[in-house]
This record gives sequence, C-alpha cells and structure tokens, in this order.
Amino acid sequence: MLALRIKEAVRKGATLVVADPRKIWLTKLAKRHLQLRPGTDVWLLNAMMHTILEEGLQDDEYIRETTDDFEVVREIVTRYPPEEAEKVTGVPAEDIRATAREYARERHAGIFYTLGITEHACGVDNIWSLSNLVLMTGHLGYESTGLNALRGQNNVQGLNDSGANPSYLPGYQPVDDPETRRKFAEAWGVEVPERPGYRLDQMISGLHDGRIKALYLIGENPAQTEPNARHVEEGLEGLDFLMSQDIFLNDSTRRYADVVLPASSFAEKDGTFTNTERRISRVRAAAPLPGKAKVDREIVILMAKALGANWPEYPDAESVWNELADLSPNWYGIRYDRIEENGMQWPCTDLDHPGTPYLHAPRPALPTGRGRFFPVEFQPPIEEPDSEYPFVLTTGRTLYHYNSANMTMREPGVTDKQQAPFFEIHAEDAGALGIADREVARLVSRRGALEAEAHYSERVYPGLVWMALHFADQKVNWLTHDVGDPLIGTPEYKVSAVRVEPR
Amino acid sequence: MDVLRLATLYPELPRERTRLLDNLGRVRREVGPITMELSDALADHMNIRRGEVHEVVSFYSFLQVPTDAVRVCTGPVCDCLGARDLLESTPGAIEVACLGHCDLAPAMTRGDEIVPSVTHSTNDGPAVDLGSGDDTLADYAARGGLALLHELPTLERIVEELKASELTGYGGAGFPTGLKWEAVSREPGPRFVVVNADEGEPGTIKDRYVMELRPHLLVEPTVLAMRMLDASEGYIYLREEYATARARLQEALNEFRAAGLLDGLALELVVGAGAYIAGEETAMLESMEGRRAMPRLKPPFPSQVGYLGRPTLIQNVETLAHIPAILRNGGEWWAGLGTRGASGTRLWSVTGAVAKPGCYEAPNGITTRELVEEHAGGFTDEVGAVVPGGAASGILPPSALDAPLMRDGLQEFGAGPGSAAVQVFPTSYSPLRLLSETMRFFAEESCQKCTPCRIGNRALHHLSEELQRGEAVMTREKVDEWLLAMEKTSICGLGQASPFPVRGAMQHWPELFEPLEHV
Amino acid sequence: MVAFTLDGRPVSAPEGELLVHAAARHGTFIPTLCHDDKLDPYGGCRMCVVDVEGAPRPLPACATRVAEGMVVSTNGPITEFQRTLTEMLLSEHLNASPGGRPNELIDLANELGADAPLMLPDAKRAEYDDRNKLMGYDPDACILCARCVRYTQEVMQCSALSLEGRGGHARIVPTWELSWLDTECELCGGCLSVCPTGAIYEKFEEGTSRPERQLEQVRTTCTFCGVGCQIDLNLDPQTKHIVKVTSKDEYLPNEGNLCVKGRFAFNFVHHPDRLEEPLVRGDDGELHPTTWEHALETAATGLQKVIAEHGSQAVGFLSSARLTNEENYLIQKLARTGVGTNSVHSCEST
Repeated sequence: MLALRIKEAVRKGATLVVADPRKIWLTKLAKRHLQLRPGTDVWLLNAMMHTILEEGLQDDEYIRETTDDFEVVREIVTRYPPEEAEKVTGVPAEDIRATAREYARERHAGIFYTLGITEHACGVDNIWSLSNLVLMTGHLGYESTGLNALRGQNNVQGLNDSGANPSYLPGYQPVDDPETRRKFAEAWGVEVPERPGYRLDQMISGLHDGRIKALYLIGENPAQTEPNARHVEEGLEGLDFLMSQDIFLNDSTRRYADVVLPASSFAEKDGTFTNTERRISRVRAAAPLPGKAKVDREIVILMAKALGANWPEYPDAESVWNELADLSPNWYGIRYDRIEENGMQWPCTDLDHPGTPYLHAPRPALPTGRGRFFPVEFQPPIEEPDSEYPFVLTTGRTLYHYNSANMTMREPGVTDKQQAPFFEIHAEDAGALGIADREVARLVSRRGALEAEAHYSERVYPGLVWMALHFADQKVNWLTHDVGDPLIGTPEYKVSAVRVEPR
Repeated sequence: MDVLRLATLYPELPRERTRLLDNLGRVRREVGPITMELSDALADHMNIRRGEVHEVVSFYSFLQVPTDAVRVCTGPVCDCLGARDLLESTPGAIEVACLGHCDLAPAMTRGDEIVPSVTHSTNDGPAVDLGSGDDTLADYAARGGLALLHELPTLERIVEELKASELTGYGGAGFPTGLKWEAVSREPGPRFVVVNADEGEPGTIKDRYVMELRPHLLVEPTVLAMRMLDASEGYIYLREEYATARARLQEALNEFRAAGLLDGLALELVVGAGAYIAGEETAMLESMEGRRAMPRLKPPFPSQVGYLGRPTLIQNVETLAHIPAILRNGGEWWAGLGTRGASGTRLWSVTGAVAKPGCYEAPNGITTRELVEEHAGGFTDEVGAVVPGGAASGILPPSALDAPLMRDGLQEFGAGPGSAAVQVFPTSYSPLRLLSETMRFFAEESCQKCTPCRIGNRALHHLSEELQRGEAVMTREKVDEWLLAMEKTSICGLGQASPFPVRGAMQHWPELFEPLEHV
Repeated sequence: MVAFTLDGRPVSAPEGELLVHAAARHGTFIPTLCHDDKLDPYGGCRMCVVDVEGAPRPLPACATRVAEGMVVSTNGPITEFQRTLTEMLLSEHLNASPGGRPNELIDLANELGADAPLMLPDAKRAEYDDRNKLMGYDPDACILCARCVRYTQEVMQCSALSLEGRGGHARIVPTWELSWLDTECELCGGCLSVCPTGAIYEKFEEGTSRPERQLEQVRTTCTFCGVGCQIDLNLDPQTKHIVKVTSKDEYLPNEGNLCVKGRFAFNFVHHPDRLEEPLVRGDDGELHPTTWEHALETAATGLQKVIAEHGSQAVGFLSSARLTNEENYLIQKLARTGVGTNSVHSCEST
C-alpha cells in the first residue's frame, strides 16, 4: 500500500532510488538501483556522506543550530570514499555519488526503510547512519522528508506505544525512572516491578539457560518466526509451563503449550490499531466469535482475576483506552469520540490538539531539542560465505502472505498465487549446480536444512539467495543464526551463509 | 518467426517510449507478426508495462499480421467495384477497411506491392503540378525547387503570404494555415513540426500522389517550417499502407540530408500500423508517443500542447505542397487560381464510376461534373450518388453534380468539401449499401473511447443493414437524437462528422428510410 | 479563486478545479461514469457534458477546469444527451449485475427513465473465465470506461489489464487474456473497486450471493500491515459472516485502495480451524477441550507454580502486533501487576 504513494510520487516526477540487494518491483520505476551486498549498508551510507561533505552539500545551518557531535561523524566518513565503498558494497562509486548529490540537493527528500536495513547484527548502527545522513542534510521535520520506518505489522507501533516492552511503561515512559513507576503504581494500586525485564532475544536464550521457565504467548509463533528456529523449539520443550491465547494452533503451541485459550480475530473486537505514521484508528467488532472463543480483552481480565490481581471493571475497550491515555501525556488528547471517522496521529497532548503529522518539527524531538550524530564504523556481518557455505541467504516477506501465514495460508484465493515453499536463485548459480527452474533443491546452513523450489530469478545476483519466512513446512528460520544486535537484540535475518544443493 | 534475428534485434532497439511504434514495426518486419512473446520481450526491454504494449499492439490492424499478407480493400469505392468478389477469389486474403488506392479499385496489396501495379493519372497544375514528377532532388531543384531553403524568407513574410492566399488545411478540418503558423510561432519553444501523412479518409489519395510523384515538394516546406519555428525535431507520420510513398520519401530525406539541407535538424519518418483514427491530429501525437492512437480532449490544441506536451505545428501533406508556389508567386496570385469566389487550387481525388480515376489539380469552386468531364475522362455509368469529400463529407444525389465543391455550394445538400475526395457511384449501387459500408468503416475505425462514437456508429451501421432488408431497428426520432448526440458529444471529428452521411442519405432518399416512421 | 457562472448563479471555485467538483460543491450534481478522482481526467463516457459559453460544442465537466468568467449550463437541453448516452450504453449492456456489485449505469437509467431502443447485434463480447478464486469478470457488463485499466496503469502502475482492440471489437481483458494469476497482477482488486457497473466483482463464497447493497457494513482497520487501511467489513445480514471487504475514497490513509490481503484474505476469520474451546494438555500429552473455568485455573496454577519456585522473573510474556492497543495495554499490565515482571515483549520490536 505504501508503494502506491511512492508510485504516485514518481508519476508526478519524483526521483526514486532503490537501495536493496534484490531487484524489487519498484526498481522498474527507479532512476537508479543501488544493488548493495547484504550487510554493507554502513559503507554505502558513509560513502554518501563522504560525498556530501566533500562537495559541501551539507546543511551547515541546520547542523550548527540543531545538532550535536557532527565533527566525529565528519572525521569518520572521510575514511569511506565511494571508490572503496564500491569494492565492499558492489555499488558503482558514481551511483553512490549521484545519489548523494540528488538526496542532498532536493529539499523534499525522504528516506523510507524497512527490515532490510534493521534486521542485522549491526541494525542499530545502520539506523544511526541513516540518521546521520538525515541530520547532515536537514531533511527532517517537514512534509515529504524525514527518516521513515515502515512498520511491517498492523500494530507494531501501537504494541510498543502501549507498553508491551520490557524497558517502557505505556507511552514510552521508562521503567527505570522511579518517578514514572510511582505514577503508575498510584494509578494501578500495585507496585511496578523495578527489575528490568527481558527482551525477546533474552527470553529466547533464557529458555536454554534456565532464566525463563514459563511463557505466555499471545498470538505468537516463535518456533517459526525466530532465528535458528530448531533451537527455539528445543527451548520451548524444556519450559515448565507454556500457555497461549490465539485464534489457531501453531507450531509453537500444538506441541508444547499446556493451556491454549481461544481468542478473537480483528473482526470480532473493539479497540484501536496504530499505524506506521502513528495514526490511531478504530477497530470495530463485526462478526460473532466462533464457539466459546472470547475477545482478548476479556481473556486477559479473566487471567488477571485468576492470578488475584485487583483490577477495575473494564466494561469495554474504550474504558481501557481511557486509562492508557490518562497515563500517557502524548496520547492524552486522543479519545474515541475524536477518531470515529479518520484516525489521529500522536503526539496529541490535549483534547484540542490536532495531532502531529510530522515529528521533529521544527527541531528534533529530544529533550535537548538537538539531534545527535552517532559515529558509526562498518562491522561485517556475523557470518560470511565461505567454501563450505558459499551463498549469502537473505530473508523477507511476500505480498501474498503474512508472517507465519497462519491466516493467509488458509485463503485459497491467495494461495493460488503462492503456496509451495520456494527460494530465489540466479539462473547462473542454479545452472552451475545442475538445478532446474522450479526444481526442489536443498538449502543448508550450519543450523539446519530445508527443501524448497528453486525459482530462477533476476531479482537476486549470483551468490545471493532469498527466501520468505512464510512457509511452515520448510522454515527459513531453521537456517538463520541467532546472533543479534548487541544493543537491542534484533536478529540478523538478512545475512546467513548457506549452501545450495540438488535434492 | 525469425528467431536468429530476434536475438540480435532487441538489443539494438531504442528504449524511449516514443520509439514503441517504430520498434514494433521493425520487429514485425524483421522477426515476424507481433505475438505475446515478442510484445512482452519488447515491453521488458523498454521497461514499459506489458499490458500497455499489448494495448498498443492490439489497437492497430497490422501489427499481428505478416508483412507479406495479401490485403483486399473493402472501402466504399472498392466495395462498389467488386472487392467482395476479389476477396472471395483470393485465398488467404484479409479484408482491410481502406488501403488508400481507390483509383485502382478494387485495390489489393501483396506485402508492400500493389496488385497489379501502381499507376498515376494526374495533370499539370499551377501550384502542386503533379503532371511530371521529380525523380531526384536535382530534378526538383531544376524546376525551381529549394529556392525557399536558399532564400529563407522571414516568418512574417510567410505568414503574410499564407494569409493572403487564404490557404486552409487540406486534411479536412480547413483551419487557416497562416494563422496556424503564427499561433505556433508565438508559443514558447521547444516546438515540433509534424506532417500528417496518415491519409485515410476513404476515397482520398491526393497526399499519396504528392509523396509518390513529388516527395521533395513535401520535404522542402517541412524543413522551412522547422527552421522558421526553431523546431530541431520534425516527423512525417505516414500510414503503413503507403509503401511506395514510404520508399520515395525516405529517398528524398536521404537526398536532403546528403545535400546538407537538414543540418542541425532531425526530420524522421514515423510509419503507422493501420488505424484510420491515427490521422486525427491528437490521436497521431498519442501514437507517436507510444500509446494507443486515441484522440485527446480539446482544448488544448496541438499548437499549444502537442507532441510531448510542446507547441506543435501539424500540417497535412498537400497543404505543405502548396506553400512553395504561394511563396514563389505570392499569396494573391494563388488565391486568384480559384473559381466561383473560392481561392486557390487543390488536389482532387476522383474515383468510382469515372473513366480515368486519379488525382487532379483544379480550382476550388469547381463542380463534380466539371472535374469528371474535364479531367477524369467522363462518367462511365449513370450517376446514382456522389460523395464529395471523403466518407464523412456527406452523400449527394445526382442533382448535386453541378454544385460548386465548396462550403457554400454544398451547404444546401447537407455536405461539405472535406478532403476533396470525389467518389462517384452508379445507380446500380444502392445508397443504403453505400451508407452501410460507410458506417461500417467508421464503426470499425472508432477508437472506442467515447460512447457516442463507439456505439452510435455501430448502431447506424446496423440500422442501414436492416433498412436494406426493409426493417427498422429504431424510430426516426431516436435516430435523430442519436445523431445529434454523436455530433455534439463525440471527442473528435470521427464521431462528430459521421452523422453527415446518414443525414444526407435521409435527406436525399427519404423513401429508403420509410420503415423508421413505422416502428 | 475564480468567479464563474453556474446555471445563472454567480459562484466561485479554486482556479484549476475540475468543473465536476466545483459544481458539486455548489450543490449541482453532474452524472459521471468514467470519472474517478484517483485517476487522470479521461472524458470518455461523455455523460457529464455541459454547455460552456463560447465553446463550439459541449465540454466534459470531468475534464474541464473552471476559469474566470466561464458561463456554464448544466441543465436545459444538455441533459437530453445524458439520456441518449445512457440509452447507447444500455444498448450493449447485456448483463447488469454479474456479481452483486452496484451498477451506476442502471442507477442512472432508472433516474432518467432511459431504456435501450435496440440491442446491438455485436454487443456480446467473448466470454472470459479466470481460474483465480478472487475476482470474476463479465465483459457483457463492461461499459469500456477503462477505469479498471487506468487504475492498473496510473495507480498500481502494473501490467494486469489491457484495453484491447478498437471500435466494436474493443474490450477489456487481463493482459493477453492470461489468467490474472499469470500476469503481473497483484490481485489487489483495485480494478474491481473502481468499476462503475460491477463488471469486475468479488467471487463470493458459495451461498452468500446477496447484492452488495443488502450487506451490512462495519468500518474498521485492516489487520495486515502497518499502513492501517480503513476498510468496511461487509456482512451477510443473516449469517453475520464477512462476505467481502470494501473501502471508500474518503478513508484515510488508504483513500479507498487496498491490497490483496486487505481485500480478500478475510476468510480466515470463519475458518473451521479456528479455536473454539479452551484446550488443556492432558497426561496423555495431547491437548483436550475443556471449560473456561478449568483452563483458567490450570493456567493460573501453572504460572503461580513457576513464580513460587523460580520467581516472577522466570515468566515471560510475548505479545503480538495482532492485538489492539487496549489489549496490549492490559497484557503489559498483567505482566507487571499480575505476575510482577517487566518481561513483556514481542517479535515485533525487530
């Protein structure tokens, strides 16, 4: 859907540059495709900044007035000339320079990124690099610009906004702040635990080292979606207690769950979702629940009761929302009666506030009001191809399925378009291995192996293979490794070393 | 399909969208008729969506037809003179709405060859003077040609002489030429010059005569226009069926180029692919830009927003061919060549039941009888009906033979001079058959975009077919309403003008339309 | 702003606004069929022609922009053309409702009292049957307004549909008459959503072929990605099953556009695999249906046992982006107040 806006802009004359190891569909509309090797983003971005500074295209006034620590980045990027970048990234130096110039010179230049740049062991570095590039050119805080994370799932944004995060209470209020904990304790009538919680990756590793003994899964399927998934399964097996609330059984729960509670789909409940542009929109119950299934709100309330928590009555979703909004200043002004028609974008601090379409306007939205440059040096991916595993495997999604495809694989009209597990490989590589187009072949990594159709594809270059995560029978995460970003644990789904062999 | 050629050809083909039609033509000629595979491969090569190329391929009549196909014309004159029999007796021949060779009716082509062969029947004339052709640029120069390019008169003088001559566009719409040059020159550059050589109105063969006999006479004023308007690019859009004209024009362009007369200019031939509507000037621009030849909404007009959105001078072949004489002898001299109050001469295509079908230069204001008797060798049959200026101009009864072929002279008959294509039909050819064949042509050639043209023409074709059997499918009142809606709400001249032959037939042969009154 | 005259009334509009929009804002509804705000002005159906003083013939309001001093008439004799053009379209309109979608041509015909005076002998177009299970297409309901084709070219910019041929042979087909599954089509159904006559339609689940106008609509937010498209779930009033998903141009952020999942992947809601009862794993190692009371008790006991033996920190919560903000709020509150841990996260912070 987002691509529609990009297509519209290109049709109106915008310049599109695609940076992706694969020749995705949008490259057809692009002026240039920077087909970089997976995991070399920092080289590409630093070389762009190198060009910008070399040619004096940076926004000196913005840097001076609204940012800190520019000099450290200036120093680092001098060591990233485009010619060297070409050797590492595979992108011609001239293309890097041309893109840098176009980006820097155009006032309405935006960057849109997804998981291709975040799902790396250096994911945070990558985003810092992007942020440096944005700050350096002052492309922030007005329309058609900025650094835009495109959220893959319907309510990733809202999930974190709502506090389903080990470091933050609702509204990004830090758990490690005593004042914040006191505020919530007062509202909830219970102390808020002080001890930091585990992130997902820490919970997963906790399955193996005994830190985690019980898991409560809500609509989750870690045995498919987490890296090194075989290993995750072993961990689930070792739990003392596993419970789940979901609408279908999945590979995590079918074998390992002790209790499974039948929950509701989006069509059966009221509430709100928050989209990638922070727009909060209403979700409304339309269809009846199947059998004895209950809406998730009710299940959680029943569980709270069963665990002896003293909660107020929540007669409806709105009463829950009001509690969230009352406790979260940037959400305070958004109430159901204001979003009956179209949704509103947070921050929205009072009942007259119109919402906020552009963040960081007029200045970066940090307490200091100043954006910070972070020096970033290139770190190679954890696993590089070698003689035993000569291919780089990168993973992703397709248009036709949603994540572990528990929903979309149940749609015959959609599976007609795509059902059998497949991976993309360049014809040159497949030919050399004696694998025919559409023939089933094996992908093998240090963690596991799978079999899927080899689709000859011009989208990948020789040496690169690509596979989507949607296939339950042949899970690409059997192959991926689980060494994630040291800061936030994001897995490196985008680079693993594999070999391809005929079945 | 020539697979070897396919492998070598594609990498050579340019990728600009404006080259799509050209590329398709080359693939068709050098590899084979356009199939889905060829179309898709070209789309991928040019980075155009496959569906858009499919749309273009399917729009034109000939892209999916082999270049050596045998084609039989079933335009009204050919139909009258035995095209159906020829079609039946020629195995494998395909039926074509119009081949533009009505003087050789019933016309047939085998590949690029006219069967049996091209002949011309014409005359000497004061302005275009087709009587003796020019074989080479040297021949043309020896007759006083190229003077314009050597003298390079000022734009002001050209506009002044053109206005004095009262020359109007001879493609059919009749817009004053001087005003057009002036209008384009006042628009900001860059500008383009396009020659409309997509002659397609059934009965009309005059532009082909010019290009086959005096191609240099077309190129010289075109180059003059480009120089005057600072247009560095110019195009001659030629219909696919005119193979001889194509060869002659190409030779002439090569000669001009070799003589340095095109220095700094790119003047190129664009070859169509079989679509009458591409002769509509904005449809032509669409076609040149690599899309279906569907007319644009007007305003804006091409003089302001034309090829690639730039101001564009679009001129018909014959119109340009008169300009050297006008500038040589003066606008007033040319205006004085007319008769009965009309200005100048024009090239009359005279076909059908006449002894010497051909193309003759004669004064504006002449009558059909004078044309046929003085130039075309007289009538060969008792005249049943006359079409004065191409299919859309109207249908006249024999009583109009002495009406001057000019706007005023034809008004009372509900007709106009159109493209000066006089077609004479014998009494043995029913006016309803003539009408039906005419409407069939418009129905098939409608681009389909607008409702009144796409549906109205088919309904009227159906109506005239049924009337031949004495049946009526609509009331007279409905017919009138539909004709009015076609005339007033169609996007382009096709649907706006195609009611004229129907109204003409109803006016002059009311008895044939009797059944309509009784529905 | 420019001032112009609309049916004798002095009115104003932003310069360059399309006449059809300017007139609508002043309460004058001009019928259109080929016009769609998402697409470039086309002016093909001619239904919206109006008289503009000084123009040699009527102009299409959908493609004509207001200008200072323009004098426009939308009523009077000009409206006769609407009836005639409707009659023309009806004369090749063999099937008015192949799939239950609304038909704007029939609406217009009813309003104007127009009938087809004849049926064209070549009205019948070659039938088209596509093996895909999502979209059907009946060429006999098509009025060649090309909104669908233009949607694929201008909005999706993909290759899915083609306007093929010309004259009476013109028709709209999936490119080269391939199945939609074999073209570049992404099955987004955008072509269907812009079709004014319902010639392209959702293939219904069996037994729910009620006309769209008899369905109940509930507006909600799509569940499939971070865009948060606004959709209407269309329910069969009897079964309360979702039978189709639609959207509207005025909905933000998607402006009526949807993707294949948003428009078509709703059947999972009523899938027989849906969990209908709580399950508890028995001593035999299998999951067995049980009552809510028993399941909740087992769950609470299971968690409490771990808390008692290993502490609150040994319990983790993995929540989901599938859930609403409200549910996620309650889940983190459950983790923090019911169990006493901050370990609440999801796979979606990646």
